[in-house]
Amino acid sequence: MRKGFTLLEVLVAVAIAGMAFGTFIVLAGRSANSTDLLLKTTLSTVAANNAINSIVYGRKSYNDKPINVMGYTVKVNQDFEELMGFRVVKVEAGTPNRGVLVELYETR
Amino acid sequence: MNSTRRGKGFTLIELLLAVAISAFLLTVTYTFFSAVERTGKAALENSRIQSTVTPLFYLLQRDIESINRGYGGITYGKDPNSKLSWIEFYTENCYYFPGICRVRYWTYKSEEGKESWLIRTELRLNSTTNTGIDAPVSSAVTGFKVYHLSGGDWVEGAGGKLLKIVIEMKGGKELPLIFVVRT
Repeated sequence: MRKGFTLLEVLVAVAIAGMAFGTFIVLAGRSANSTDLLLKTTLSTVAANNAINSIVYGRKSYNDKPINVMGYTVKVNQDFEELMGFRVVKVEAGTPNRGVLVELYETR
Repeated sequence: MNSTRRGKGFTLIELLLAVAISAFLLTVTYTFFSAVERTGKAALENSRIQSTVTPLFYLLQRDIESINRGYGGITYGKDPNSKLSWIEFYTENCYYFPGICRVRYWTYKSEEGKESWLIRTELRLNSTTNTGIDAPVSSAVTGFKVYHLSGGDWVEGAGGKLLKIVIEMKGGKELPLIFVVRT
C-alpha cells in the first residue's frame, strides 16, 4: 500500500507551485511598472507645463534642469522647432530612470 | 540490525532534499509577498498623487488663467496668528455666482494641527464681507506660498504675468505650479 509521495511527484508539485508563483510575480512586476510609469508621466506633465509657461512668458531656460515635484526628480529640457512656418517651443520632461515621458509644444 | 533501523528515520539524502525544497518554497513565497507589497505601495502612492495633483492642477489653472484684473488686483498675504497664507483674486471661473466673482484660497488648520484643508471661498463680486461659499479642495495640503517673477527671479508675492504657487503637502512634499495670468 502507498503511504506517501515519490520524490518525482514532490518535485513536480514544487515545480508547478513555483511556476504559478513566478507567473504572479512577473504580472505583479508589470503592474507596478505601469503604475510607476503613470505616476511619473503625470508629474512630468506638471513639470513640462510649468516649464513652458516659464519659457514663453518668463524668459526662463531649461537645459536638463532637475525639478523636484512631489519628491520626485523630473528633468526638463527645452528646444525650438520650426513647425509649419511657426517657431515653436518644445519642452521634454521625464525622470532620470524613465527618460523622456512628455513632450509639450507652444507657439512663441 | 539493518531491518530494525529501516523505516524509522530519514536518510541524509531525504533530509537534504526536504531542506532544499523548503528553502526553495520559502524563497519563492518571500519574493511573492514582497512583489505583492511593492505593487500595493506603488498603487497607493500613485492613487494619492493622482487624486491630489490632477484636481488641484486643473482647479487652480481654471481659476488663475481666468483672472480678470480689471476688477481688482491679486492679493496675497499671511494670517498674523497662524502664519498661514491666503490668496485672493477676481476670476471669470465662478461655480456659484454668474459672471465675475472674488475667489480666496486659504488653509484651514485644526487647533491640534492634525487636520488641514485647502479651502476655496467664492464671494459675490460686490461682497463687502469675507463671507462666501467655502468649498474644501484637499485635505492633503498643509499650506502654500505664492511667488512672482521679479528681475528674472521668483520672489514671494503676487503680481505680474506669471504666478508660481508652491503647494506644501502632508509628508513635506511640494508641488510647484506655474500659471499665466492672461488678463
